[in-house]
Amino acid sequence: MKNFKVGLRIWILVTSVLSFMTGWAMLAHAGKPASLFQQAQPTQNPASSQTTNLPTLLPMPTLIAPIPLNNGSSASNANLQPLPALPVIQQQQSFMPSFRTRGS
Amino acid sequence: MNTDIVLAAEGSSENVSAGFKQTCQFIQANEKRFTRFSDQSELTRLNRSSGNWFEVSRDMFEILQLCSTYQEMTGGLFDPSILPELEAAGYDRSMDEIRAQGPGQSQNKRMPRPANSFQDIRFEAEQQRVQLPSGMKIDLGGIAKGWIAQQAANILAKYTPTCGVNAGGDMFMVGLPAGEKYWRVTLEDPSDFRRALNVLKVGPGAVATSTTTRRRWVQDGRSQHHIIDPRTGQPAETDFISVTVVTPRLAQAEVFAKALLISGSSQASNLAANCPEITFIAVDTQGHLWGSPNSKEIIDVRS
Repeated sequence: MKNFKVGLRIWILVTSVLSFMTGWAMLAHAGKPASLFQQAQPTQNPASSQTTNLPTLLPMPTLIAPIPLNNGSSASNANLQPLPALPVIQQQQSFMPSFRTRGS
Repeated sequence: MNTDIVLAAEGSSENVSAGFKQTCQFIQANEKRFTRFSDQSELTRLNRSSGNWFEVSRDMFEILQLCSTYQEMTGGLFDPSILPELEAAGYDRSMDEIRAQGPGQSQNKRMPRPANSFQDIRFEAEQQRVQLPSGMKIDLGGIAKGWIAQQAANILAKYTPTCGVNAGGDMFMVGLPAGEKYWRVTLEDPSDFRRALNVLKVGPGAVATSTTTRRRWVQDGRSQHHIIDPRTGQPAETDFISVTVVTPRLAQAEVFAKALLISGSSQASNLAANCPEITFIAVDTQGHLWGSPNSKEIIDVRS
């Protein structure tokens, strides 16, 4: 059971890193899309021009820290309920039967 | 044995399952041999043959010899020949039947102790036979339970190095749980079975408890219990209500728990001195704890 858990953790880590790297590589080699933030431009006739000046990709934002669920100030979190405390999971439970001595 | 039995073992499920199977078979087979509540048990047939030589099994021979040894060590406070007095006090059927139907129509009168003592039992090792004195009937309830539980634990130990067998509160443990320095055994409060008095820290070996508060019934308006004082032939009148003994052998623990319970606080120290191996903890009628000098080593002060 312990080996299975360790193996599962390693598998999740490796597949996450690989997926991230694959996504990064695909984005880097993909055609550059028009910026969603740019104002709409009149459609150009592709026949009249083979090249279009597209905006460069904006730098990817860095990950921000998660918003605490219990800050209560964010309207976007209004529907979130605080989670109950999770039980502590024992990694390895020791063998100790609950023997009880009593008169017979 | 009229009691719950718990088996516990640490190891691979394959080994533990095989061990449990063998152990259960052993317990079931032996329970039938040593019960006094069956007409066909070896014990009942032995009792019927009192006065005559009776060929017994190797295990019965061993238990009877243990009885003889322990009777001497306890100065007669342990005596299997109190069966007629036990039945006269109303314990003439299994405790489940007594609880369901009430005590038997016994002669609640003072039974004169027989002229013969259990010490008069005769053994013939070569032919593996014994002769109870004429008219003697014996009860092996507690000591046989202890012997069976220890043998069962030893069978289970062939499949796993760490195991324990708990027969109604009398238990035998082999090895130690992985990463542990001792076994933890909850000491039940004899005045309130739902409560725990303490948690004992014990090594491999035996723990047994005897009490006057658990097997009780009312007969002719008198509260009775199953611990018979061989000196009087009556349910023991003692200032202890429970005694727990820790020792290397379960039959010995069972015997000394009963003998110390009967002896009460006035004679407990002298009796325990006859067997330096034992550690005991007693609870008196006021709820105070008493113990042998080494008993503090097994009490868990955190609880």
